[in-house]
Amino acid sequence: MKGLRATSALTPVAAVISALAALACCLPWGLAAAAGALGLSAFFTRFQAEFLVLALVLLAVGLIQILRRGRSCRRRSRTEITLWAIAAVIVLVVALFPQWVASFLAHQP
Amino acid sequence: MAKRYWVVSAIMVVAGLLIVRYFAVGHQTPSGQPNLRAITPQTLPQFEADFNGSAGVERVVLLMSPTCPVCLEGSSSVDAILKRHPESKIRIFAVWEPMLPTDWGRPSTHVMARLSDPRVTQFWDRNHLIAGLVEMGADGRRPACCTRNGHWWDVIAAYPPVSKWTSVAPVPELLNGTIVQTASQLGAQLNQHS
Repeated sequence: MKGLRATSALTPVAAVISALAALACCLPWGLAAAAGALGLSAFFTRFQAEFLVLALVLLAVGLIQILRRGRSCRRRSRTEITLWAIAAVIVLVVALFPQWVASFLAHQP
Repeated sequence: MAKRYWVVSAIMVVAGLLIVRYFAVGHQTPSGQPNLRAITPQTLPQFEADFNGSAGVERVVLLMSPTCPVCLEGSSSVDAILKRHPESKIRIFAVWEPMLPTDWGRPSTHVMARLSDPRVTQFWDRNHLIAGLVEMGADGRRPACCTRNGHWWDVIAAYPPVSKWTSVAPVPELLNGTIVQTASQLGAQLNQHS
């Protein structure tokens, strides 16, 4: 974790949370949580597109942070790059293959 | 460095092939079902003819989004009911429609595989034409949930064997959502008829 700055770690994590929030509107919540989840669900449904855009913006910010670090002659942290790469894969999978993700999240009866 | 280059290149090629496969051939319906049909103003009469051609059997229209996990769970519930009633005279019209920003493509093979029974025909209704006609024919009835941007989704509409689709859908005998919550009522209805 040497050389890993909090902001560099937070950006990709926030990107993943935003991407998953885009699908949170329609998750199969448990019956016990259904009443409370209805309000949350409406919130996430309303802002689904915004969450996706936010995820992509955060990914771009994360990439810029990594690239700027390289230009200023400081060593890029391997953890930082790995975190960003994992976040990029998750966000791209949600954006490009939403049906796979939805299928994965839906239970079989 | 050369080894890393080849590994990264191989991953990118595999990912590229997967993406091409997904978009090019990833829209097959399960065996025994007709191909996925697009609903347009031109093909609407065909849908109507299909519906009326199955007179004498219970007909069910499902309105679903292909990227909504709850809808997918609902489609699996309906498929499970069909499997429990292999002899029931029923026809399912599974209508997939773009409801969420992630619904930018037709339903894929693995999404449609959740409704694998041969009594199912699957449709892609980009312009919500069927949802609109189901709503117009509902005679003022509304599902307890499931409206987004003025369109119904995650809804079951079941029609009795004598009903006929004219310019709008007939009046349903069962109309509600979400599909996963209403599926048990559909199952009970099939139990009664059998």
